Amino acid sequence: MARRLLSLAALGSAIALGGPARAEDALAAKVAAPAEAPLAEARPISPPAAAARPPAIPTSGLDRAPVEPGDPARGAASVLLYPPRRIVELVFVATGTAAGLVRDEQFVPRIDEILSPKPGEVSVFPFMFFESGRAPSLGAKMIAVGQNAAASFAAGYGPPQDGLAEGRIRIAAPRPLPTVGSLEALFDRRTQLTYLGVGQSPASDRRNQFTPGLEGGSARYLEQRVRVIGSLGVRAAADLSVFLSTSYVHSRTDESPYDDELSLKDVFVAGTVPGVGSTNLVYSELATRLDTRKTLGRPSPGALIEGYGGVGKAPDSRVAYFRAGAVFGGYLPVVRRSNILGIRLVVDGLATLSSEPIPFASLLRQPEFRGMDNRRDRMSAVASIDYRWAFARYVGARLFVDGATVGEGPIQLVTVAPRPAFGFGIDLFSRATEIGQAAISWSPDGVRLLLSFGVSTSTHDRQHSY
Amino acid sequence: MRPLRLAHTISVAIAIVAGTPACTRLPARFTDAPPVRDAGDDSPIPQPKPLEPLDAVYMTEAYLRRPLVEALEPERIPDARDVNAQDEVPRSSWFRPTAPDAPGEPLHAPTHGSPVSPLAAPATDLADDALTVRDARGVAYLLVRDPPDRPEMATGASVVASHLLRALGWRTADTTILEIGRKDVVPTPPAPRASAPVSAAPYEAAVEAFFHPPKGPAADRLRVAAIEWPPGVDLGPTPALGTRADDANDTVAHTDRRTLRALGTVGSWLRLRRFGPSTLRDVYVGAPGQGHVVHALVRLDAALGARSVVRPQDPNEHDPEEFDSVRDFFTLGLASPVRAPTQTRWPALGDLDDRLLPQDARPSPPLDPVDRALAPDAYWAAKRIAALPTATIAAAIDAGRYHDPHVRAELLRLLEARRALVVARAMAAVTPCEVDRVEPRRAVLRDEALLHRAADAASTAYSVTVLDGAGHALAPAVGARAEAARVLVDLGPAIDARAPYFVVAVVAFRAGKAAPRRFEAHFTGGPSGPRLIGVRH
Repeated sequence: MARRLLSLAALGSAIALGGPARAEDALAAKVAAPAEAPLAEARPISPPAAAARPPAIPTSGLDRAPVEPGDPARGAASVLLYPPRRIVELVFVATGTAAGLVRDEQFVPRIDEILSPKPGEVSVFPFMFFESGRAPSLGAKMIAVGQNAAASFAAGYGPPQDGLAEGRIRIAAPRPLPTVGSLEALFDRRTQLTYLGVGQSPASDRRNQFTPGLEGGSARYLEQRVRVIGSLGVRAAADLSVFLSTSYVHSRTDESPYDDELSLKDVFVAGTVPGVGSTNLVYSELATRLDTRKTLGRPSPGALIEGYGGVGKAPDSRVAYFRAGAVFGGYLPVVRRSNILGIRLVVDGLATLSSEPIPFASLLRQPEFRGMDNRRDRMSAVASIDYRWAFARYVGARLFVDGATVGEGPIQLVTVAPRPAFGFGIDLFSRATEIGQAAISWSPDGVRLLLSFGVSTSTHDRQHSY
Repeated sequence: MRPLRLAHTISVAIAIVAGTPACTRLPARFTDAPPVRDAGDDSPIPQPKPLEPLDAVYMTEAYLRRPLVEALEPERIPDARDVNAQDEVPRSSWFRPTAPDAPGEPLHAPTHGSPVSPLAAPATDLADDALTVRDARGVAYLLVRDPPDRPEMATGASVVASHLLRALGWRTADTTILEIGRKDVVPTPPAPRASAPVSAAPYEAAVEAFFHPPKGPAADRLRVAAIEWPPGVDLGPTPALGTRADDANDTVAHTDRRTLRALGTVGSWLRLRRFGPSTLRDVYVGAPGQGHVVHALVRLDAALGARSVVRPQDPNEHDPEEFDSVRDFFTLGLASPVRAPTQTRWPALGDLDDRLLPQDARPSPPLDPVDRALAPDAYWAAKRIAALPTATIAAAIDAGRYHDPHVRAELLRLLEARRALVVARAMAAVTPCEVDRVEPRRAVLRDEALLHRAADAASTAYSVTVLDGAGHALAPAVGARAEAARVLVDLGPAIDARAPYFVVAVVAFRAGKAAPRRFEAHFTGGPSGPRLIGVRH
């Protein structure tokens, strides 16, 4: 799934299926889950309890509560503010329910996270989301969490022609090694995707064959996908994870359905953009990640090294490619351990294994780049410098600078000027996970607003990002 | 989270804008009945389900969800609902009111005293400064030791705080100081099941870590605080929100309980800020089906500044509770820490001084009821703290068994100094009067602040208004002064008007400044004279 630019669970009321009826009880139940009682067999010491002696009158002895000046107005305003108050509550209920197991990233929880008791409730909540290439959409999401297992189903619609349906099942096993297996299926249709051509500067890249007079133009197209992902992740050591994943994607790309926009056939010479039409692709990947940070939520010192290699092959054509990449990150405390300077470099490469050109939709993109992610090519590098500092227990801020290049080969990566983006953001996080992020970035291509809630946007995850 | 105060201010402003000219104040009305002395919440119930919090969710609730939601709630925080018509907390499974000079009731009876060795250590889920054990009689204890560089600090604090809170009326677990030997503790894994053999290694490691902490030397003998816990079935942390759904006796939302709200005031006195899941615990006492839930304070080793110690080597190990959000935001978190290292002259004393810090009254992590504490809740706690005899405080310190007499003396001095500050602060936020006695045509009020020398009598005056039940003045407000901390109030206007229900509203003025809240004494009239039926602060 393409990277979320903004995913804001919002609107309406949650329907708690099998959950506590009262809001306070629901929260209490969510905060506290059943556990085995240590020393539960300890013998009772107290004498038998007294017979029921409910007081005949309220403990307070009040017949009538006092009314203070302004109370009626406060009551009226409380009614007015009920919807936003309820939305905030539901966002947290949904996020808390989903924490740990249902996430949009490759992640194997540490063993203590797997062993944490789960509330065992089913929640359905409406949400709205804004995503790159998709019309603003409304939908509903159901999350069910059991002991070491979770499932979710989401469906949404963005007028007039965009849609999404997605189901996920994740199962975790704490022993002998923390392991997570997942199966996901997605159908979606996006009608507002953009293709500029390949290269860091598509307008001047000789590989792009523009229609005369439209050099450097931006073409709109639609893509309809059916995608299935199976993955298995094992935490082989405290900081070392290994992932094996396979995906099958049936994709159909076509011209923009909107008459008032330039389509692929308008901007590019017919037949020069490979992969327009239907494609089928199976991509399998093995990745290992060493991440010594204590948590991905709050600013934490440590190091990150990740490497992966994968093969993509079309079952019905000769398209085949090899993909490999690496992520290097260092996170250093500055003055305090809650101030972290992070430096990260993400390098990806794609090599064709046949004479068939790689479909343009499968070329590398740059979801880690916080400017406009609208360049594609066979090689990509994104360098980032983040300074994060906590200024409240679970709230932090960040300043960041990114630089991104794409190219046909490694030489182009280092010889072309990177596209810069710089920005500022606020992070919300719990002890273990990132809860939300709001950031704004500036780049020569424009201003981008990044909002997320309950979903990490910083993890390098090819299967969902492409 | 300071920024959320702005949101709350905005939501209150919306209330004002949305409001009509509804500015009428209508006083409360009490039932003509004796005050409830016993909440009667110890009826037999089936054993509730043990709970254990999800740490991440608990923290997210405390720091994010609740502040956000409450910032959008302009309704006034309700008065505590576990108080009676005298504005006192009656006897309950949460609180045992005692006479000021009484030591307080134990959590259970009879007490078992010190554990008898050998001690079986059957649990491994604690940090390395604590160990759960069961003694030769089968009595369960939680052992807490001191940090290696501060002998007697945490153990002494645990005992002193336990005794003081019990003397104030809270239910605390029996806590005593004793020395145990490494050989007295036997790692004891649970009995193996056929399909799942249990390794003894984690249990041995837990015992080893207790006697040989990572940052300290190994010890063959340790001074520990032995907390007799649980005295029944441990039900886990006391939920900070709502009630226990499976406890029929639990009918008052915990956020509305004064016994929890007032912990900020008590914590401020004792510099005790840890009221998290390991401190506020529920236990089911009694035979299965015949017992009830008791709500207790268990681990108090963070009291007396024991968890606030700033060591010289780690001034930059920022306590996340002490962010100065505005400063840290604009300085990119680079501003120097504001706290100086804790004194090392007396290692047995934590980071305790004779000043009240702003964060002293804010538990960490935040405790919802404390955040909703109102001035009357703090006043109630301060009144009880003020009434504790010095001998009771000294006895609690003696129970801490500090070897150095200078430590005991300094601790007593600090607790007395902090008590005076806490009491003065809480009593300045209300009109701290109580009804001393009622005579045929007048009432005698007692100013607790003057009584405990928390205010100056010479600069104190009172405005007294007699109101009818609907809040209308029966006579113009009159001024009054106190003599020997007593204020005489003329009830004549109400008696002459034959008012069946009337309210005496008193506002204290200290150095010309009115107290933020008025005191109300509610009376019924009648042929036998006025009768007090309720008070509010």
